[in-house]
Amino acid sequence: MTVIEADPSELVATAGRLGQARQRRLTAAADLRGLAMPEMPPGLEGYIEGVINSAASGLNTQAGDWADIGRDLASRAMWAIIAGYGVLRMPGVAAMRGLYGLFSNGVKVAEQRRLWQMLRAWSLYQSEVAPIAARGERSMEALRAFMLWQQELSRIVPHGKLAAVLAGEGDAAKYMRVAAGPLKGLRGTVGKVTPFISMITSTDTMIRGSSMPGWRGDVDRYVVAPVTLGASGVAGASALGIIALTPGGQIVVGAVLIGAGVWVVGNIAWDHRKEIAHAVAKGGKFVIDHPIVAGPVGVPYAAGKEIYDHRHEIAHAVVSSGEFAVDQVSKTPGRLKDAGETILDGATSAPGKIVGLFH
Amino acid sequence: MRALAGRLRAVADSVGHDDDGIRSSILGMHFRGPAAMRLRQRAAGILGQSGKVSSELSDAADRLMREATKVEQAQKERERLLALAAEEAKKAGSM
Repeated sequence: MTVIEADPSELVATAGRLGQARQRRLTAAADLRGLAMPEMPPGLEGYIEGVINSAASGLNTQAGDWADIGRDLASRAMWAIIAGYGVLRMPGVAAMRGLYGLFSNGVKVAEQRRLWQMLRAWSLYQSEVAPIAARGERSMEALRAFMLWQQELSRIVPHGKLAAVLAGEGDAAKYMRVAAGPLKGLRGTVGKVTPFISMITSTDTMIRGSSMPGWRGDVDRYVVAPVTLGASGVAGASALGIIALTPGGQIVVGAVLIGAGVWVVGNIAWDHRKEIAHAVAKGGKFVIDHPIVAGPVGVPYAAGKEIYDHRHEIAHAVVSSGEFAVDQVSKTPGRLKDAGETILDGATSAPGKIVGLFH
Repeated sequence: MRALAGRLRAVADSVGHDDDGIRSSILGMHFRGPAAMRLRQRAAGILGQSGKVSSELSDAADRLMREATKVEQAQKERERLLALAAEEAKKAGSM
């Protein structure tokens, strides 16, 4: 199987260096040709002139060759970006996409749970309270039923939202205005695009293979990518209104995408753990140097200074303990396989359990 | 001649240093696939040619230094013989 990988930023940086190398070659060639020949023994002058001319000619040729390769690299970088392959696979971009996915899917799962609770509350109101209330406005029976409804449902739906349940009369769109999480407009707009980007990268991973090494690459290619492809397809179709998912369906899709996002972000964090640990250690210095800034967030100056003074040991301990954990996992494949089968069994039975709540 | 040798050696060292930087850039960049392999093979060929240029310039610089030393020694010997001849002529004249 042919695996093609390219990091456009590195290709462009190398193309830039080759451009500079070309310039230096041309300058060196010009310097050689401009050298004044001193008096020297007969025979030597001919040899030296021959070497200088040959070297200058060779340097000019190399300048042209480096320029060709540099242009080739710049062109390939551009195509990689256009194909969306390089940009989407760059660790920084993949991490941002993964973190945004965790945020948006986490918010979606939470707001769909609130929506589902409000719909359930309305359903219960209709079945338990409304028929009694219809028998007469001043019926004590209706009032008791209503108070019982409030008492039961306030354990699930916040008290402040009970009035909205009645006002909405079972209209999911009205309930969503109350249940919506932060940045709904942005999530709605971006949510029409990001599922398709996920579908492209997942398909690419399934066909070309994962960039992750070892067993992680196999899990990424044969488990995470197909699951993400399916879930993203459903999410994208729902975002465009092609299919209508129930709140339960949204929760299932969101939970699957959260799992995929944790996998992506976790792997990126693991692969860049040393840089992250270094950034944490450096970031602590700002807090130490600016204790007044640190004050509002409650970081005691003295404790912070202790942490800063021992930042390298702490960073090393974080990295070492992570490596120790991985070392233990890789040494116990049997236990990991058994644990994985248990997790998979739980995950595949979860959708059935969630859908069952609506019946 | 020594000055020329110094200039040739400086160019050779600069080309060699440049080659090291190019080699580590090309080998270090995240680029895999058939095109990457062809590119790296082509770059290896160019770096090989560049290495030859560097070593020819270094060899020429070394030869210039050796010839310069020979010329200096020949000049010193000539001066010594001239001084000796002048002294003998002076002795012959005084007799």
